[in-house]
Amino acid sequence: MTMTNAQVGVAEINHALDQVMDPEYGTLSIVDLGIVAEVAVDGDQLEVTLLPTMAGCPAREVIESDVRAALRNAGVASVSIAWRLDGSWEPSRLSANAVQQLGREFSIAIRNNGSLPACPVCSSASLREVSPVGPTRCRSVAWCDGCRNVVEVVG
Amino acid sequence: MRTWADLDEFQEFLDAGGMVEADDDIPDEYRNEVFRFIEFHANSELMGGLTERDWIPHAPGLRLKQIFLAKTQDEIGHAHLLYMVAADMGVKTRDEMINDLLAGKTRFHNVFHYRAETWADQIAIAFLVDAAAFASQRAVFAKCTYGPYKRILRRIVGEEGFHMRHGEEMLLKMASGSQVQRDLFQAALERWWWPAVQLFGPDSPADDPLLRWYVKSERNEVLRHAYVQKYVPLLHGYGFTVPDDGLHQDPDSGEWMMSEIDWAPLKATLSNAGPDSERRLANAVKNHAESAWFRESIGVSA
Repeated sequence: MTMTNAQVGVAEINHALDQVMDPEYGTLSIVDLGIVAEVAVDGDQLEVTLLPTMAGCPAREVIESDVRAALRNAGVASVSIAWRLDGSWEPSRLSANAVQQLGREFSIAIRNNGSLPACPVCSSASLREVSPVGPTRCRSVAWCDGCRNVVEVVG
Repeated sequence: MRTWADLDEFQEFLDAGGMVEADDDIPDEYRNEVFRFIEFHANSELMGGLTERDWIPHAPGLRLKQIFLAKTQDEIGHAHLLYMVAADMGVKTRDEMINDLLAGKTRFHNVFHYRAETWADQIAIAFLVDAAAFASQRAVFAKCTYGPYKRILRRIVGEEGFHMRHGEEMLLKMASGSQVQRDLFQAALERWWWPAVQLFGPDSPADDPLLRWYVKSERNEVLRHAYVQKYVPLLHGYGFTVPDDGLHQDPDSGEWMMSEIDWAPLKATLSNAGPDSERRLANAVKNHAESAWFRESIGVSA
């Protein structure tokens, strides 16, 4: 049954958004990744503002259609989705859960204040940047001289 | 650094779920075999990325150009990561691997030895070939006892899974399009079905060291059979004809059974003598020469 937006609570909307997973990293939600910038409910109007990690992110359309589907399933009748393309996404938007999972599951480290972090695989301070981009534009590639693993670095 | 007295002891370690790390005292047999496997994977990502790149100018519309640009970066980036891990194994340097590939001395996936004739071929590749590659990579990731390779595969598998969504979306457009579009895809399907099925390789040998060492988790024929079970009904559902006169459903199990596979085309690609091997390699050589200035500017050789 479809309800008017006013009948679907903000908590339910946020819960629905938290079920939308990143299309590449299926265990992390767009909320965890800090891609949801704003949820505004005004009477019957629901507006969701999304913030890509990079303006040219090729996953935008897929994420947008997944958001629509999740909100529809939660009973939302209509939603307006806007993308904020001012480049303001920062690694600090990642939740603690995201940082932990990216490190442990995906060997992806998060740069802190411009300097290379500890290696997510062996925890030593042995990362060395190899190239400013790798498979995606939002991550650089580093090599760990400690455990000899390839690590990707966000930020 | 861990050491093992002999291959039997090493096997016990692997049987117990052990994971091999770069600084272990790795038995040469394992090192050489795993190195060759990663080198083959890296070569395939590079050659695949170059094909995706060739289609960026021909992709219809800005959105698809953006998708093919991102896919190209993905594939070349995967090759980059894989060559790093392979070079670290100390069998060949990155330069040696690139030079061997360009000289036609090493191998890459059979599917990159065929010509993509039309845009519909690119869709068939995205829908059928990417799916086969994804299934085979996922089966390696499932166990993969070489830690540095498994960690890269974790990301590669996620990214390739995303490519498949694009493949499905593009196929849906062709299937629900005009008769011209449907005919174009049917023709592409006839070119790509067998190469996609053959990507899994012939039946695994009785004692495949890569299976024994848990680098692969599944036999080639099992993966191939599962792929056919999934893709035959999908293609039929969209109203396309699978180019195999002998294809039939087993009356008892309901499973899709193919005609006997002619492995000669696969063998030809493995010696770089496939229908498009020469042009593809020449293209890769040209690309490597033309990007020399860039490698020089960042101080790397390959």
